[in-house]
Amino acid sequence: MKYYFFGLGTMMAVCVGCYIPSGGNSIEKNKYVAPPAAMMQRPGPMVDGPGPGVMPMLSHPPARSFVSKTTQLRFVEPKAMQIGWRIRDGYAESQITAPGRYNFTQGATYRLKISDVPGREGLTLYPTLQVYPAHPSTDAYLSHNSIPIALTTEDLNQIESNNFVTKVIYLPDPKNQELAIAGVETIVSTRLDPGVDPVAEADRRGTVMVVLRAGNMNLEMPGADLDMTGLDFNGNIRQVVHLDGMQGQTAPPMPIAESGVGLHGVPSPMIMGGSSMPGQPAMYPVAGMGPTPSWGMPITATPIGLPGPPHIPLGGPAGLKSHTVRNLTSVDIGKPVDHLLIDVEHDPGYRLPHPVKHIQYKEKHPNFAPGETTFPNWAVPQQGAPQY
Amino acid sequence: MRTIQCSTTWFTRLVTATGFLITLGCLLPANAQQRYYPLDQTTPPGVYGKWSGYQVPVRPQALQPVKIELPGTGQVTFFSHARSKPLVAAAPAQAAIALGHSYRLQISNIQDYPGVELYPTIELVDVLHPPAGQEDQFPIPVTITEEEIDQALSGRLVTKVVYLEPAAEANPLLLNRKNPTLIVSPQENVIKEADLRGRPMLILRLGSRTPVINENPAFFGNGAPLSPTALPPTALPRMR
Repeated sequence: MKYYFFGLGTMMAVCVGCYIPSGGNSIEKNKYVAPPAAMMQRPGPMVDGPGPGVMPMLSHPPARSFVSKTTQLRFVEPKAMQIGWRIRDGYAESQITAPGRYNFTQGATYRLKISDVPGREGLTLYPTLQVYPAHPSTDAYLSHNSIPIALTTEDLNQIESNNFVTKVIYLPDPKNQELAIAGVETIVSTRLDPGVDPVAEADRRGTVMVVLRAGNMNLEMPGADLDMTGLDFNGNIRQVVHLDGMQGQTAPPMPIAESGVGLHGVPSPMIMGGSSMPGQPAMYPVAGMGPTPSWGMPITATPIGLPGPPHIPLGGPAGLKSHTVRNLTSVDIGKPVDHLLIDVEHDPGYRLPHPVKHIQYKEKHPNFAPGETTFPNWAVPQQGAPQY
Repeated sequence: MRTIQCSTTWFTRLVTATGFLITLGCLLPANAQQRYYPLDQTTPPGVYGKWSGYQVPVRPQALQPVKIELPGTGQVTFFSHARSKPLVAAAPAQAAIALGHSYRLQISNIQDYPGVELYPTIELVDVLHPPAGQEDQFPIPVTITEEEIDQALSGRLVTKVVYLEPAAEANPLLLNRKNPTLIVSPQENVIKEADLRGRPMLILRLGSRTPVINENPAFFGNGAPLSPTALPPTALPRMR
């Protein structure tokens, strides 16, 4: 009999064990997983345009309605606070009075100027406001909702105490939502453990939409900000402009940096290098490219016409017959790669229904006797009206 | 002989049990197989409508009436494009919209909500098939409740799917309340839940974003067809 149970258990493990839902990186059995939302918006490679033979889309509505190219920010608290922002040649002050709204173009960082905070005389803040590009998971929310931004008493105390406050506003993933209706949540750096990146933490919980970074640095002191020296990019003197919204002078904000321009999720080609225009790639960051000299290349001439240090003593006859530079640096950078293999993996993977190969169609016709027909509440026929 | 008989019994039981398990194992995935729902409440507005356009032939001349009901009195404005004239009507307001398109609305002068203006959107993903010539008598009812307005004003996004229940499974009794609403958790797929209960017809998204001075004209729509209709005759008191 024991062999019977042993055999039965073995067969059970073989037959049923493979249907136990597995965790980890694999897809649970009987569960479909769609590709990311950004991929779902397009028909796919070799089907989408541009080019001939693409899907005819002219007769169909666009894939995304009300594309949210702007994010509407609602400055909530403290009330009566004045919000301005950086413009090309200075600051436009008091453009919004809290509570107030404004649409900021996505994918850019703005320099705000917050002043006239009630109860804090003389306090002027210059926080940066980073507005993230709309993601397919936030597009519906951003096209229907404004994002509230509030500077609480604790935030202002932290800033005045010389602390750096980062507020990250994000839309939590459905699995992280606690309430029944979708809403934003905020992570403040001062409430996290030291060393925890609030942006990374918010990105782990959902999709980041806005990041506000505030400190107590005064950017309008002489020489405090390189951009406020009164010189333009060509070194010419310019006049600093200040607009006051209380007098009806308005101007749109100027981005001080741009990001996310182009494909979703692909960072802009900003790498380390020299200064450049906002949002533009670094200025000639690679040695040997453009006017940047090659690494190790001397820029002076030798008496024999070769690059090198000047001859010593200066003014004497040319006696140098040999000039040798030996690079004794130990170099091990490997051989050139002849075959490159890149493994990519989506976690979880995709599982879609297999193509239909059998269709059963069955119609069920309800039969109603006179007087048995039901109507929606608003379509109840009037007395004496014909019955359908 | 007895041993052989026992062996035969043991072997027969094992083979029978194994056959049962194999059969059960083969049936498990088939029984547990579920329909695939690639769309949910986080899908960007317009995607469902576009996919519906592929399934249902686009008939630009055939518009579907939609009736917007507010809690109490109010005003409903239908937008088609920023530069086109909107349709303004008192609630319950009715207009005809096109399949697959999304429309921006404005609800204002809402009873018990002085000064509140909200700009929801509606996305038509399917159409009704009423008797010819009686299209205006069968609009898709969209009811916006006080609770939903409160949720939107608190900064949340309300996504509501209006579906048509199958006739064979419809409640045979007249209801004492309008349009029964089922609230699902954010972990669930609201489109899937509506599809399991009937045929999704329309998606309402209600938030707190309002147009400001530098608003993008695309906020009001992309110029989809929009037509006024007449309200259906007022329903009589419930019978039966």
